[in-house]
Amino acid sequence: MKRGELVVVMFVLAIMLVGIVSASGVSSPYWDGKEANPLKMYKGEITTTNLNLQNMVGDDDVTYSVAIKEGASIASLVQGVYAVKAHTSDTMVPLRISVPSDAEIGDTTKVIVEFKSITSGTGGMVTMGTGMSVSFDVVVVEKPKGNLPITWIVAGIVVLVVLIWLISAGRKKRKK
Amino acid sequence: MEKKLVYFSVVVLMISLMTVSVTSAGYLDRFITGRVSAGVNVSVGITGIHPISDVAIDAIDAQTPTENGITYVPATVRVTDSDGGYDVESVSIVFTKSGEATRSDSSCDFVSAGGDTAVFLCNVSMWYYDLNADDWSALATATDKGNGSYINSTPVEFIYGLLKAMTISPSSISWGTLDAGDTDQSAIDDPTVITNTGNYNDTVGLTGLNLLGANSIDIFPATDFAVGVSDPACGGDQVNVSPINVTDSISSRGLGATEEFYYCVPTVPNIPTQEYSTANAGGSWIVSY
Repeated sequence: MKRGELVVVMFVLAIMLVGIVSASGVSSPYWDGKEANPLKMYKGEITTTNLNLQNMVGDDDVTYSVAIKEGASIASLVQGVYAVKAHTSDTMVPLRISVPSDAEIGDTTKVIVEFKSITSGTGGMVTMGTGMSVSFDVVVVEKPKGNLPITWIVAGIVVLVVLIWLISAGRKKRKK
Repeated sequence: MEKKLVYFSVVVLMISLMTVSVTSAGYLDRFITGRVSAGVNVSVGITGIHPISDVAIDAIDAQTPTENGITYVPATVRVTDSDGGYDVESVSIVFTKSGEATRSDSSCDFVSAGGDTAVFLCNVSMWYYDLNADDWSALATATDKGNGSYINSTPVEFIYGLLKAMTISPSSISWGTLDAGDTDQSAIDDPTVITNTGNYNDTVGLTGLNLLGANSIDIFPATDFAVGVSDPACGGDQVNVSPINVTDSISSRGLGATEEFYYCVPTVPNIPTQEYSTANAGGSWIVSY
């Protein structure tokens, strides 16, 4: 090669050695955008929602790095890397959401969780990987006035019956 | 004492009347004939004349699509018939969502019958590319065995989740040998074929990474590359280390729905001669939904 001439040599042969398909997927019960389905929570409420990693296509295991890109003030992850076996769809990524107790009704916080496949880093000039971001709003809503649990209702009835029985027994005693 | 005995007798009589089977015969019953022999088993199928009075679907859990496959969505249907649970001929169910193909189970499985209620289990196949929505609607229909009439349930809504999933091929791209100052150099093994194996339906993104030289010092900046959905891509979007939405890209939903990315180096930079790759930088470019 001549001096001053830039030659960028690429790893053409290496391409032959790498896999031809990279596959990945993540499913979420909440999303934004078209027909958005936000997560509705009460102030002070804490919940854990599972994001679902899938690797149903291809024969190679996939490793994902996971990071919260937005909404870290209310959302947190248990771990940052997940290995997903080939032909599986049951890897769950728990996402803990905690709404502050001083939040206002109607407050909305965007949560964005980013998934990136971690490639082997070999072969080719530019290795291609896949990534997905899960994005949804967490909306603070008013807590509905809940009905009393059935156990409390039953307990109340029992107490009432006992009270009535005690009163009537007392009266009978007085009559005697 | 006598009074108590009378009350007791009346109560016993009433209980007896309530527990005795009541039978009756109409005028036409005189035409029913037959000879009964001892030791012969006779089975009679009895169907009721009363129509089904109620069809109800249990709440359906939020469903997760399966990458490039089918999710079987179970739905339990309870049918009430005053003639008894066995007087239900069949149950079917349909899932609908405006603008989407209808998914259904035309013959739900009978599970059990007790009293005036029969329980059926339906299994509906939903495809990975069916639209994510929180208002997919389930409607069951039950047909009466005795009189053939049918009745619909009240619709029940359920969530079908979002699935962002794809395959890409090939898993790397190259340019062969480039000379400094060369212009409009297309990749030799593009396009990257992106197959949508989920139900995401929007633009497709790309995040670049600077290529690093074999000496781990010199870089081939990601911004010296361009990407587009048609070939050549030299006038396409500039690749960046931060995510970009590739112009005119779309992840269509459906069987075998694909998008293609083509790449170009509009002007080869003046950098030292050596091998450059993302592998040297310990990462990759990311095609993203």
